[in-house]
Amino acid sequence: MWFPVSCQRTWGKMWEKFLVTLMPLLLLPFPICTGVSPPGQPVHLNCRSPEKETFTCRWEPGSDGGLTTMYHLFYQRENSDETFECPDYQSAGDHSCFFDRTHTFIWVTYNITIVASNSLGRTRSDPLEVDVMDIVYPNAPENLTASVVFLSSEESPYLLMTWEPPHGLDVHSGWITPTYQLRIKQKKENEWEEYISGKQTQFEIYSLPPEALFMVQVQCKIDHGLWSEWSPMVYAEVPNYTRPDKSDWIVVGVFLSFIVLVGTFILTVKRKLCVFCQQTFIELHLPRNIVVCTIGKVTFESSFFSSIKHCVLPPVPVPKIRGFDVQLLKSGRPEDILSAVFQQGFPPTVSCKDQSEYLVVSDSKESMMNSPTEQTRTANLSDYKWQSILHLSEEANWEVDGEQNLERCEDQDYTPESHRPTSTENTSMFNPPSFYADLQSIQNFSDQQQIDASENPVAKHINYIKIRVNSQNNRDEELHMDRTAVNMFCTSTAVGYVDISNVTEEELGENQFNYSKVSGVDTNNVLLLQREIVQPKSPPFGEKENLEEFTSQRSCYLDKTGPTPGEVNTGLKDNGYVDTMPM
Amino acid sequence: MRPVWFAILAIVFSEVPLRAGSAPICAQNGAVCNSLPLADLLDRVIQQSARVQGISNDLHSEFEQHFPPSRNQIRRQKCHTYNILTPDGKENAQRLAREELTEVILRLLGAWGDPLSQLHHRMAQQDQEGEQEEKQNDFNPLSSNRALEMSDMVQELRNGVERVAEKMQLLGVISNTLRDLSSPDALVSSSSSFSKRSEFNVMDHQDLLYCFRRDSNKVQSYLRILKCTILTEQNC
Repeated sequence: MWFPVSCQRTWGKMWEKFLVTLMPLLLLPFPICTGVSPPGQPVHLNCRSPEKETFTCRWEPGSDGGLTTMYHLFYQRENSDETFECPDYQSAGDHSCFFDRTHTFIWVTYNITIVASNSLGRTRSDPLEVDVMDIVYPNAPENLTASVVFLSSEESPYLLMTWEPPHGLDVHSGWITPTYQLRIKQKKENEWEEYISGKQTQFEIYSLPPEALFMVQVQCKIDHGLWSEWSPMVYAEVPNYTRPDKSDWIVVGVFLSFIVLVGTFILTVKRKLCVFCQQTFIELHLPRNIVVCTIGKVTFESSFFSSIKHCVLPPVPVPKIRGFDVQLLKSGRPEDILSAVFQQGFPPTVSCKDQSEYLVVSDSKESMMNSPTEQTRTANLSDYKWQSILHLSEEANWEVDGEQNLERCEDQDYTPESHRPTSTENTSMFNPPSFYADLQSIQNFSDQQQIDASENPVAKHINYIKIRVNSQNNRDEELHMDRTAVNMFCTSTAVGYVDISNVTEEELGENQFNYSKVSGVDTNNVLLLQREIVQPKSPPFGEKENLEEFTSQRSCYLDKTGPTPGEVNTGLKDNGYVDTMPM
Repeated sequence: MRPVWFAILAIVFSEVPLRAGSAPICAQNGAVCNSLPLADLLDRVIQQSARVQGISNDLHSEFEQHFPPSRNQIRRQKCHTYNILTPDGKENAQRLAREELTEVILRLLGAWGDPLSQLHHRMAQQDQEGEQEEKQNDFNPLSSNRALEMSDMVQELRNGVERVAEKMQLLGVISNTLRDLSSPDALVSSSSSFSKRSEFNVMDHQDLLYCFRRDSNKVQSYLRILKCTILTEQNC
């Protein structure tokens, strides 16, 4: 039985099964399948216009069904029911239809259908709607040339590429404006570099490496259509030439100099800033070679900069002893030594509050708002930044002398019995933390609150506090908050109050400031306030004697003047920097 | 330091327009630009139309993404500008006199002023409704902004072409037979057919965008041909 295979394709599966099952029964002498069928459906219908004046449609035929099949293209134009047939089946090759200029209408929708027909039937393809403006797909640009050009003035050549628009494009009348795109690659590289050339038909590439082989291609696009195919590859070889290396080194040099400039700028700015600080506000000591400027509450601390600075410009430690004339000492004469050490003008007896170099210690607002009572004027100890002061290193020896003064002052009503400290030695060393804790309790206190004496009996009746700091230079800096002493014991105030002249806001006139000299600085917003004791013979900081003298001076002074609560001790002006507020 | 920077920037930016065109920028409100040469005017107008076409392409493709044209029926109603006779090929366009070509361009641009602003309002309204009802809004919320942008750009393009026409009349390039197309009755015929449409829905938006895309392409092609017929071939 002759069973052509082509039957299986054209018949449905049902028919196949039917035939298979009935095959024994259908032993007919004549074949069932003639091997022909109506044609299959043409597919892949697409149209392209290369220059927006003509267009071509192509399709893929389906099966021909074994018979000669004819293909016809029918189309309708927009808003018209009239059906036309393709004007030209030949020009564009097999299975194509070419619409020439007379049959091409832009901005008109074409509805195109292919009909395949043979003697057994016809099959229609799916319709395609097309507007010529959407199917503009140009051919690749032509006549691409790439050449290496040497200019006589420069030694470095450049690659010049030129091309022409694809054949048939009407550029001159402005109907079409193609834009171009190049891609260039060296033969040894893997990736293309793309360059957009715009509307120009030439392009240059500079800074060519010597002995390189370049491959170039170009493509074009019309308006918002599709990019064309890439043109055929063009090669260009760059000969060996000595490339001037100056340009590279120039770039490197500029970059390096820029970095150097930035670095010096940073360092100089930092340095200048602190010099500025030094001259105007703060006397700098350099215990740790950390340059920190504190103005009020602003700290220009920059450990980062300082670390850079230390790396680049390690500071030379210089012992700086104030009141010490190094030059005199260097001269080597014995008489100069004494004069070098004990200078007449040191410590400077500046008490005028107009000195601009003093640090303005301003009270916190809250403390100022607490209006004191009439009798006991208390102030928040945070005025003096106790907290930060005591946050010193372990090198500091703390001393609290609370008793000495008590005995000196005669006017007081205060009986120290209940509050006598267990240890009157001034060598009682308090660990800074505990002392700190004590003072913090003090700090938190307000008007009539008594100091909590539970932890430290001495702290209860602090009249003054002398803090002696043994710094590295073996100099002792002292800090006397003796204003408290002045007011406390020579006024008939109650026991245990730390009476500090309070500064209220209305009294804080423009020209009235508390001045304290800062003896040193520490990290984190730390100020070491210093009271200078001006002694005519300034023995180097002997504590007790000075103190006694001082306090006796104080008390005696006070006796004479009979201070009212809160009255300023004007004697202080002569002796130290502290200029308290008149109440 | 900052005032110094501001001063430098101010100097730079004040110099840039002086250097760029060597000509002051023309005001758009009624002032005739006599200082710009015609070629520059035409270039600017062509650039503007290219931008307009770019935006219309983007909007249309966005719509097609969200609402794919899976329908089989032949595309919708006619564009409302169908009654404006336009040349549909290169030769036809070249055969037209310059005055007629300019007139066609102006009529096309004038016919789209109203519809574009209505399109923007409709799209903005739909966006708001979508937000209120909290339904999944597939629209890019920037689409309505882009429609507004398109509407503004078309208005500017129209002004620009009017300037070009005036300049051409001034130079004697074209005769003074151009009717005043800015008068409302000249546009009645085209816009009335538009306003007769009763409802707007998504499909109409898509049709509208398709029609506009086509018309903007026409305008661009006509402008290019106009430029090359007026100017010498070297400038084209």
